[in-house]
Amino acid sequence: MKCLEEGELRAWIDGEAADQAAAGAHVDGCATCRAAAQELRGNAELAAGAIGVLAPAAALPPAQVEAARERVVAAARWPATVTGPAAGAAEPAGPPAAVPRPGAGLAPRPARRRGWVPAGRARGWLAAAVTGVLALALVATPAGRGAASSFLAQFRSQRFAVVTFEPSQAGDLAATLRQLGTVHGDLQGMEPEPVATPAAASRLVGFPLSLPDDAALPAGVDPSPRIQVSPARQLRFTLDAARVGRYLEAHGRAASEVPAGLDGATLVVSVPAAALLQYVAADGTPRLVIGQSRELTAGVQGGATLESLREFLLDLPGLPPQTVRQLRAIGDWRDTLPLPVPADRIDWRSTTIHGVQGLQLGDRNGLGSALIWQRDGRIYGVAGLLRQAPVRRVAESLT
Amino acid sequence: MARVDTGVERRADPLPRFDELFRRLYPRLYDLCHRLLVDRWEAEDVVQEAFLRLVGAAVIDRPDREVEAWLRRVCLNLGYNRLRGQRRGRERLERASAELPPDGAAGERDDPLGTLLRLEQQAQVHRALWTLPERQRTCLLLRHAGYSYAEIADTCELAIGSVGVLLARAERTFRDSYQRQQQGADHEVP
Repeated sequence: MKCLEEGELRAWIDGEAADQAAAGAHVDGCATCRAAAQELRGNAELAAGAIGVLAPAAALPPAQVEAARERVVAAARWPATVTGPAAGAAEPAGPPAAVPRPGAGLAPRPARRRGWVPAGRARGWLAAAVTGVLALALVATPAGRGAASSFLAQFRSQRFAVVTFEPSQAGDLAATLRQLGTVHGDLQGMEPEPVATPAAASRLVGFPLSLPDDAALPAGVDPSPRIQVSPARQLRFTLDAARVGRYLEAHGRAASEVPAGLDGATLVVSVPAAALLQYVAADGTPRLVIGQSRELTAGVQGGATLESLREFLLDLPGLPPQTVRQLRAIGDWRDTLPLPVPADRIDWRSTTIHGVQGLQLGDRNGLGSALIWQRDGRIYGVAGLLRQAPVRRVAESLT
Repeated sequence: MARVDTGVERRADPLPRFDELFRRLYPRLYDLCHRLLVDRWEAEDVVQEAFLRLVGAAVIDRPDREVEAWLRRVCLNLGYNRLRGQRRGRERLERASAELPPDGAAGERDDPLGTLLRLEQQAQVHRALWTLPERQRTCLLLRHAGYSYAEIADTCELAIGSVGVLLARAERTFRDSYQRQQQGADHEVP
């Protein structure tokens, strides 16, 4: 048998050769093919490992598949009779959780949820934290001045407050919101883009970036950061009285409880452009990220105020009571940005940094720490796969 | 066997067939689209849209293998279209190869600190994937999402004998590009 072509070898490695046995026998006796196969196998393993990180964190639970199927069937305007294994189980008393029926029921396709893509989209800790904040911020301390100044900013972030949550609840919160209205936002803008120099990043974020003292950087990191900027963008959440009514009814309340002024009221959250300086160890592992942005602002357009919208949302049934309690406890909610923290994984405490009050966070395994504070209308965050002291050293050296 | 869909009268009842396909294929297609879009919601959106297109499409009456390949193709096309749309909106900034498609696995927002590393890895993998020609990239994604050579051949409309060649090339290019990413060669923004 003559030597195998590369494609045949590759197929043989996967057990997909036309004649596995013959190919195997040849490789066994042929040093050239063995060497070639070894290289191919190495490449395949590398690709498998790398592409594996793109896989979903968890498989879809059957209930979610079923909910998706119902959405598609509804959108296709087929009669929503249930067939197969789920029959009987799928006669929900109310709308299935996390499955908003499209507005008037006329949407030609499933309800879009792209407005709700949360934190993972962002690279870099600060951006991730800021996006994570949004789910709560939208419900609670809505943030943001419109870029176009088409309305008065009713919220302006000045400080942070930790709001703990059960990780399992975060999805519920976002899902609840989607049942109440529509979310629009150019979240593609959440992806940071590489920028060549601090000066270029400063131009994009609109203020001069603070840079750390090289001497304060942890040993072994390249002192030249990779610089990225995630552009500013707006998120808009428009309350839909019809949906809210259905939501209330599903929770045993009267649909008539929807205040008239709230229908169509739009919460506008302006997320500022953020610069991320990423410091990388020699092996390419990111060790430290410094994030900087302007303040987060929010307001309401339409026949409602931020306060009335907040009151209404916090009063809704079906929200995690512990989260609502913590949000209500924020007295100066017009300038306090709730920072959602998974209580079972992250420790935090209040701290003073650059003369202002900030938050110090650390994960329970001691793998990572972060400091976040706001000063002179700017949000700063330093986070790293480091202990608290080196993170603080970097934070304090920012000038 | 061949039925005429007048557009007025539907098939006797296409729903059971649709339901069976949906329940069986949705999780795997979601997994595939997640690898392409690295975003839970986008991935679900794309797969749902693909199934919506299956409604009323003649292909639903074809054998499973054909329907499955059709759905994979539609998913991949929709996914690529989304990524291209996103790219157009971002071209003002830096190189196209630095694309990081949206990410957002469910649990990640809960643990921003621990997520840092994973996000960076995903970005590197995606940048490396985007240096491949689309066909190679598709082949690579399909294979490492667990599809067989026959399924890859059906999806990409290739001869089954070509899958190994394409895959070997794709993996070599990917390796080189990925290693360059890791060595930081791409950090030097022109």
